[in-house]
Amino acid sequence: MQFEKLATMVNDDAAIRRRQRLQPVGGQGDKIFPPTYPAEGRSNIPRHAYERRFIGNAEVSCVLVDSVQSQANRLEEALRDAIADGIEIPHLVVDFTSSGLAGVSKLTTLDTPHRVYDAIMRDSSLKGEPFMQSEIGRELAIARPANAAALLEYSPSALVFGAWHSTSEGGGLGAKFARCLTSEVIAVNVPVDHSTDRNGTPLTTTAAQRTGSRMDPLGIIRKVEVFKGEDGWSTTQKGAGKKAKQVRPSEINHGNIAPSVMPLGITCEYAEQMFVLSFAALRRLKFGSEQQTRAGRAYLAALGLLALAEQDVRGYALRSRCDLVCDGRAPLEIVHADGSTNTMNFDRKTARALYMSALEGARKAGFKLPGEPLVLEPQPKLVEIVRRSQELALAGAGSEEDDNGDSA
Amino acid sequence: MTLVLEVEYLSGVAYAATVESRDVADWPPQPDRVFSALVASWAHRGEVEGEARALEWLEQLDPPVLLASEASTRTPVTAFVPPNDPRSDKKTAAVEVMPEKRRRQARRFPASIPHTPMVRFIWKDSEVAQSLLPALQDIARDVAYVGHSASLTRCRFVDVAAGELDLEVGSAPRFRTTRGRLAELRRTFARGERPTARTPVLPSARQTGATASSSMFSDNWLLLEHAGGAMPDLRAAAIVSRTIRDTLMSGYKAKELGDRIPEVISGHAPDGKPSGNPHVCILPLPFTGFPYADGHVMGFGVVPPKGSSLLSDETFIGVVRSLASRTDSGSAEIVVQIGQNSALGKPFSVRLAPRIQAGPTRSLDPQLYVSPSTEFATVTPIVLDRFLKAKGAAREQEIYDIIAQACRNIGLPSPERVIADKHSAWEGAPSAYTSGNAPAWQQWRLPEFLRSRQLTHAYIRFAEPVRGPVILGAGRFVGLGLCRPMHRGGSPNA
Repeated sequence: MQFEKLATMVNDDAAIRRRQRLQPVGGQGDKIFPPTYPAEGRSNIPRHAYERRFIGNAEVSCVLVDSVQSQANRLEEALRDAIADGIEIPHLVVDFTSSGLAGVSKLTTLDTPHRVYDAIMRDSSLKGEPFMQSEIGRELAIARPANAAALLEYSPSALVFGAWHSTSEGGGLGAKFARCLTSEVIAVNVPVDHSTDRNGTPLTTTAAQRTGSRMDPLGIIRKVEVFKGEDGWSTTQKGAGKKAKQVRPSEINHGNIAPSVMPLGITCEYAEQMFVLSFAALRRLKFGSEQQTRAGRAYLAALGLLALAEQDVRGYALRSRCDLVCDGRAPLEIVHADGSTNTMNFDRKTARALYMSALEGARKAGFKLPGEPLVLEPQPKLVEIVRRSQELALAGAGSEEDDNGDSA
Repeated sequence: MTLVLEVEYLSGVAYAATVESRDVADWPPQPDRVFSALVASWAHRGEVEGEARALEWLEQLDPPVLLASEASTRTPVTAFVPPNDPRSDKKTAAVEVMPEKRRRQARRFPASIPHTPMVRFIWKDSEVAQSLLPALQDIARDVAYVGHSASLTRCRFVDVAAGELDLEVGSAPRFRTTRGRLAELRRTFARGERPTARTPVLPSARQTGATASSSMFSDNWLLLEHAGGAMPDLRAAAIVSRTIRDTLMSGYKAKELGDRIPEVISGHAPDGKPSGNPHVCILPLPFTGFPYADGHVMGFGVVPPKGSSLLSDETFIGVVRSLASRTDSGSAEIVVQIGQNSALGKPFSVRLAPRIQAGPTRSLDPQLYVSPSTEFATVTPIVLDRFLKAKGAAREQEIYDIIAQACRNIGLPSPERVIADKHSAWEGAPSAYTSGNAPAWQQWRLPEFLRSRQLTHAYIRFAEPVRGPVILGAGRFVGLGLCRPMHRGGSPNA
């Protein structure tokens, strides 16, 4: 498929959709661990997100394996890897390398939670000028769906995945762009158990189990007196510093952890990724003249398909013990306005060729779409707080670990 | 021909929450939600005037039949998302600018998984003008999502021959659009506000399958919409109601008809004694029972007794016209002067715009109060006809007896159940009384003849549907004891 055909599809059709089967890297039936979410009520056991779907003529239990928000992050990571592979995709980079910070080099608009409108961009500078006060920053701030050229030229992924300038003046009434694509992974036909809580509310839990324990090779027992305070831990209260109090060895990561068994982890018949690229959503965006708008929309569509193809090749290593791979190669479905569909074969080679064709078409229409990223420098106050944070972390103040739940 | 709107959820999941709770998945999509999506599409398309006409035609149609499958709901889980609030120039929490340090905020994304991802809205026997159908089709084609932006959809209007679709398996919607909804959405958007509350589809007597008993009050009202001047709090509305009545009477006097003021308005017989016949109730119409309702008074309703010809009486119409002065914009407004002796402090005035037909503002629609139901809850507290003497469980019986009598007094049967409480079941309605050291201004202001009476809110259930308005107790003629029907399929806030 070439750029012109894609542009016509964006203009005339409803969407592109793909249902791709996935299987665990360990083979069908291997246990995987979807995201867990906080327990409700008095239970302290985290849980998966269950649902029931009608597939064929039967209702089957399913589990959410990767949410829309999480998949968006992974598709952005796939685009970032494509950039590293030499594919030109406009984006911004905040370069921390000369700041002397350990472990922080560059952050791109494909990494930051709020994309081009993230606070990190706001607290960075372009050639010495605060970014949002620069000419490009102001263009991004005033961009709207009816005139989205600035985003197209500097951060087109924000238009594909959605972005909101929530910290603009006017308290959140700033530029707002709804997503143009969604992708979600669910596990299908998952063995579950049904029960009720003490209030009679139905509960669904996985039939699988997750075990956990720790055997301390040093054999430190629970009764040993340990104190933890502002100066770390010690075997004496004075030695631990101010506000020291007695704790168990496990709270300083020593000692045994008793074995536990929790209803977590699943097996499934298969997992399915449902990807939808909405042409109606793309048609909400305008980029100047009719020709430019047509080219811009087609370019964004190609970018969305590129992200999909790149993720396929990367694989679906979603989290610890949740690695999936494509099971065969599903075609794309072109969904027409009347609901009828046609299929089209699709792989990374096709996607990259289509993307390059669309990039060329958009540049011919007059868009800059620079091949090199726009490089920003972090403002000194941003560098300073990162440095202070690292110092605190090394001193044992610690960071907030949140390994529960799915993040956007 | 039959106009049909197809909505296909392209990923098979519908992300949308109910009005009553942002944590509860909403399925099937309601006509008003889809209408909002059509309006959003129209706006993105450049607000074409011809397309606006098509939407205005659509909004005033009777609610469509819904053809939608059952749906299951995803486990309602809490996800934690990073906000964009952190600022590196702030001393506290500045480090949270960095992605890995960013505090997460709890969010829920209620999701429904329909057995069939296609929903159809069917306006039976709707003759859409040939000039409007293409506009509707263009708007629908560009609807990107219905509900949350993750619910990507394909929408399409089609005009099908009657009989092509089996309407017997369809269902009635819970919410609808009304005339003026497009204008309302445009206004609220321009102000940067969320849309106003949804309009429930009220069950007709045919739908309830019963011939409802009805109260002694008419369901045909004169509406007085607040047009200007500081409107007192709902707790002082009884004073304003009484002043409105005095204003109407002054209109007769101004036309030298002071000796011929109808008993139905004055509440007094020709000999000056209190009338034993029903007379008008003047009710406050507050913003209650909707999400974010704050109870502010949006207008008043002049409610004649059932069977009264007051609102079509030429003399009464002339009096109202003579009281109303034309504003610069051409609208008619009655100025109600609340004087120094009103117990509301300094004299002030409010301007009220009279009209007969309900407009787009739902709080001013008599249908909120007159539609049949078996369950009612008070918006303004009931003024009890006598003091309570009993204690404990006997007191509950005494309250039931008083309220049951109040129902019979207005022509309704005794209720099956009464639950009295300090608080109203309707969001935004003030409590019946204050507690502790609350300041005096928070108490209900009553006309002199009702001072020192006890007030209570109540939930009332009848064995069979009754048709409103239900206005109970000693303060009914000044709008106290105003009850609103509760319709299941929603909470009081539906």
